[in-house]
Amino acid sequence: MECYNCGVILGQEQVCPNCGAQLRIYRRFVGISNYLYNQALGKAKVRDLTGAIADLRLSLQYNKVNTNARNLLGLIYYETGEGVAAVREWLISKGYQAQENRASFYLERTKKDPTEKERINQQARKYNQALVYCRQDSLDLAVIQLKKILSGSPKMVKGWQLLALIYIHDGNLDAAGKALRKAEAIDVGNPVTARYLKEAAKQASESGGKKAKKAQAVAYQNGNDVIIQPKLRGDVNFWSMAANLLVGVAIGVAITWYMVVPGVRKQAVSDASVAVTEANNTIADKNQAIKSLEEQIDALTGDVESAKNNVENKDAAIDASEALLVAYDAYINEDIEAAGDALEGINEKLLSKNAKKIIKTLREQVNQRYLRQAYDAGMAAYNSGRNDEAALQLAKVVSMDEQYENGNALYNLAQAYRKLENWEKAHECYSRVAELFPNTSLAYNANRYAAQIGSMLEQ
Amino acid sequence: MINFEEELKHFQPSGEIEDAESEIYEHDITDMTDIMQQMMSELKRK
Repeated sequence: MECYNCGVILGQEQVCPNCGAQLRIYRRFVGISNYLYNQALGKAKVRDLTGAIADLRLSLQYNKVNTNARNLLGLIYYETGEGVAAVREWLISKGYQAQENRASFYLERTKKDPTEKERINQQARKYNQALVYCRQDSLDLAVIQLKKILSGSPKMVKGWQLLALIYIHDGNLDAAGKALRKAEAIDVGNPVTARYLKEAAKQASESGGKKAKKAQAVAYQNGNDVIIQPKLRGDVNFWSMAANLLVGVAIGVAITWYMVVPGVRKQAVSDASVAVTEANNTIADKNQAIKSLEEQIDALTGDVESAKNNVENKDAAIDASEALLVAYDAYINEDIEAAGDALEGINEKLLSKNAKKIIKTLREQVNQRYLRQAYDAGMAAYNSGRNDEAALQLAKVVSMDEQYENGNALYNLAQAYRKLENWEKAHECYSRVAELFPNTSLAYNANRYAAQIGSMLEQ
Repeated sequence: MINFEEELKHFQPSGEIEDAESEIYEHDITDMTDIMQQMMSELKRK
């Protein structure tokens, strides 16, 4: 048993040794819950499933984590054809106890088994269709549909009950009785079955009484003997025989016309109804198959897209690895600028773990030399008045490290832009110098230039 | 005497397996221990 408050495993304590929660009442609840579970188990064994369900629900109201009670409740729902309720209980049970729980086995055999899952869903769909037929007063179709469901799922109690209800409504009491006995065999304690059985028996006894009255009309008692004789009895002669014959023929024709012909017609209608139901079921099955195939197509399209993306990612990863090799080759050959340029274009995310380590080391080694070379080249160009080249080289430095050489790279880049009359970029660089290196001579000069260029740009 | 139409109202449509998980959320699984804990916390608040 676990503490309801902190979940620690308990022995016989009355107070939780971990959190100090009082356990006396909780133990009482657990005890009542177990008692009700045992009662339910006894009832389930004698097939009083309704009684067992009531006890198990009560048991779970005392202790919702009583896994045995919840699993049994699910099992009973499953037995009576209530697949969804069964799966619901097993899912809750598994939520409370993920390990060593029989509910996992039940879920494997139902929710995770495509065949069984489809059977349960089909059964639900057909039952719902039968209910729709009932509400549309198409009882013949409802009976056909229910018979079909019950041939595949003979333990669906509510299916037998609905079938019996239709039979009682139609006055087909024998068939109702048979359906109800099937329901009773699954769940002896079901009050709906009992009520329908009582109703069927009552109606049967009423119709039996009327037949008996008719029978008494041709029977009479003579002393202690009961004499039964045909109603029509008299002297028989040729004319009366001929008349009887004619009447007999007329009655025969009438019976054929009024009873046999409607029967044949009814059979034809019934056959047509069966065909319609079959067609409806086939359409429903086909629709389901189409839906399932569409889902498969969507899943496969997704797979194709993901495979395409994988291929594209792989190509990009190969390109990045190749660029890394180019950078490494340039570094070995002391062409630091080419190595730096190659490293700059590599997307690290596309590289493998080992390649990431290599690029990190290479970057650290290349960057310093690359920055130095670019800075020196930039400054040499700037000092010899080649401002285009200076801006190009210094921009490379600044893009990697804005604060290189205490801001001199950024400041001289601004100067090169100013001399090239690229006012906007020059203003941007001067402002950045002032922002990054406040209270320095560089910032003082930068601010001055920025102000001049700013007012010029405003004009 | 059973009234067919009235009786028919007691027969509810069945759900499908996919509905089982959503049904859990609509299903009240409060037990006596939850109620006891709630009462105790209300008493403490007072």
